[in-house]
Amino acid sequence: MGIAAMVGAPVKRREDPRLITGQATYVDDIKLVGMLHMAVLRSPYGHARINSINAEAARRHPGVVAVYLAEDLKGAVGPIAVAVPLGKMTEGMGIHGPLAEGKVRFYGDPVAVVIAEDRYTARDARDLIEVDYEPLPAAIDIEKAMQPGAPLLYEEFGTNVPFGMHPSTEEIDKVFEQTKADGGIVVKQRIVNQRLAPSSIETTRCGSRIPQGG
Amino acid sequence: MHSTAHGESVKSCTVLAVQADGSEVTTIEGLAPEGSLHPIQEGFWEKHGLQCGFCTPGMIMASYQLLKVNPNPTEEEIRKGLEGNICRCTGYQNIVRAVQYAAEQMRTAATAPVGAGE
Repeated sequence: MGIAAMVGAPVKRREDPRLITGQATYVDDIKLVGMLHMAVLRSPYGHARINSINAEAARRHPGVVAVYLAEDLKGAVGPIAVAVPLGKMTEGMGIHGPLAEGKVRFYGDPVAVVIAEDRYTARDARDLIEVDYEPLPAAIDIEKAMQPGAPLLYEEFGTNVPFGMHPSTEEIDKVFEQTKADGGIVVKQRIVNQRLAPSSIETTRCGSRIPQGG
Repeated sequence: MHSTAHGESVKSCTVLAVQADGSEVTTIEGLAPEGSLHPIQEGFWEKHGLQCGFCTPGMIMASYQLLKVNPNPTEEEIRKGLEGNICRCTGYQNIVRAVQYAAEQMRTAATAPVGAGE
């Protein structure tokens, strides 16, 4: 089928035969030699201080290969990359490592990971980790979070707003003024766009292989 | 993921192997002889009834059961029949079309004069 013929026409997908016959593979089907499994301990709070973490029982659990907390990754793992750091982000606001340090800032914030020989062991050991949280007021509404006095995720910055974009509307304002002067009607509308966060389709897990010497 | 055990569509994740003891079990892999497709599989391909394909085996096996009981389902009956199978990418519109396509194909095949079909 030439490109022109495809426009506006239903095109049968080439990847479908394996998907409709049970031949497809997903992350669960990936089995590598010596593969280890990871379980993530996540925050049950939207905002809380971490007073202490006791991972000793998890580390001692049979079949556990390693347990990592934020402090264990210091100097070994850098912060999560931000594609375009703007405003206060360039000063470090919102920049964080893969595991929460000192505070959790959203429900589900990763706090610790357990690496074990199988997934069940990893989860059992994860459940042995004890975290002493001190729950803090959480900002759960974007606009309320922007108001003065809102609970602050990064106290040192004194605001939850890392940056704002206010492009000049001078030229546009003139058009509206003129419209009104000419007896026209100006309609005001508040427009909210949803946040887009593209991600892979199988988001609950991933498999990876570290090449030799990698 | 669905399979049918003794003609009943079941979720394989909620049936223990011992519960299936003595049952004839059909999964997506056994729906059509190797190298060919069941009309339901054809329907899902033809009508773009899948994207990532993760829910597709369950959708197809549930459709298989549905069409066996009700060869000419309405759109509402299809939606009701597939209830509990969650698709997170395609949406259900094309899945319904896929089942309608399959139902049509299967009815045509069933009413074709002897010798004219397979």
